[in-house]
Amino acid sequence: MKKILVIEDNAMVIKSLQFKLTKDGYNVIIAPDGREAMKLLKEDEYDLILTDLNLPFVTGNELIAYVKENLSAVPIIVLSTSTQESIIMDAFNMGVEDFITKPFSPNELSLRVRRLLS
Amino acid sequence: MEEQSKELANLHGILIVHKDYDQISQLSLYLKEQGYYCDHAKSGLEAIKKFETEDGFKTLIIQENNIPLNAYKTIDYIKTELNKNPYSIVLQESEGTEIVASQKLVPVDQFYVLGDDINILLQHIKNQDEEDLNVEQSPYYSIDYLKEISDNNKEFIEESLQLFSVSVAKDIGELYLKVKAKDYEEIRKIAHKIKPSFAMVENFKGVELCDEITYKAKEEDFKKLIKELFTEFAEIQNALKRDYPNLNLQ
Repeated sequence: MKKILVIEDNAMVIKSLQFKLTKDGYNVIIAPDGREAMKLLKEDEYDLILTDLNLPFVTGNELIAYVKENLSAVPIIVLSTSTQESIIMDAFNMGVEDFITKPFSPNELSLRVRRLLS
Repeated sequence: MEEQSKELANLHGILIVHKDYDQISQLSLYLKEQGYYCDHAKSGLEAIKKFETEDGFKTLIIQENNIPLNAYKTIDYIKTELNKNPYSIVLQESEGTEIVASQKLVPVDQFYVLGDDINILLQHIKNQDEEDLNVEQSPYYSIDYLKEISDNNKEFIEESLQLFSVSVAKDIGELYLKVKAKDYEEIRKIAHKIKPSFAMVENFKGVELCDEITYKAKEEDFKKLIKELFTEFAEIQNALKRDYPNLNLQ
């Protein structure tokens, strides 16, 4: 079973991502902040990372930089409420594979995750 | 038992009360095939116990002359003592059973004679689901998005509404504290975090207010905007309390 690390601090978004991705057949691990995510990334391996950009303790950008430097094979999907072009472009320039705005469309999420994990 | 509760939470639950299960087994099987959750009780007393301990039975189909409590006494008890209001169908052995005056006072929704066209019964049950869908929606929130994510999973929807209530209340409390501390950077971050919660219950005024606080507000605007956000949250909360009394929202 493919393992997905979800890094998100909004409880409702966490619940909906966990519900949808588990239903799609993935093993979902949750980190509510960047610091916890870094700890989990050092302890275990993941097939995909879904992360918010505005995170407590360690920001989304710092986390992306860490993953791209140390775990470059792991694809990243950024989850953000922001539709500001500059923020999206910054994320892509850092090497993230995809971007989904919150609240997400369930079908769109399934398709994008499947595409990156296939 | 846990699996039963989950199934009951997700499907339209029907409780069929009859002393002889063989008499209603075909009816039960047919309703299950139509996607309903069906359970059986042998007596009115057993039915009352099930209504006491389990939520989710929307329909009660009950044998008219069940003993020791007949259909009317059982329905009356469930409605008046347990404050539950299932769609009540009395199952008659033959058409035209005489109903005594006192029984007429009990609000029965339908009568069905065992052996008659089952589609008529099914149509009455289906009509309830349509009525549920037509219930007037609150102008302050909608559960359409939560339904879409979860394929209309009742348990998920109710837990999400509880999370909305608890987490947004906490975050708005934080906003007030940060205003007092003049920590404007943190205010913007918290508003950004709350925004998807309002979006998920489709309250777009809340979404706009969060955007305004996050991206546009000047220092002197924060207090007013946060008050407006709290008012919007309180309206949602009041509507949820009215529509979901079983959630015991604070």
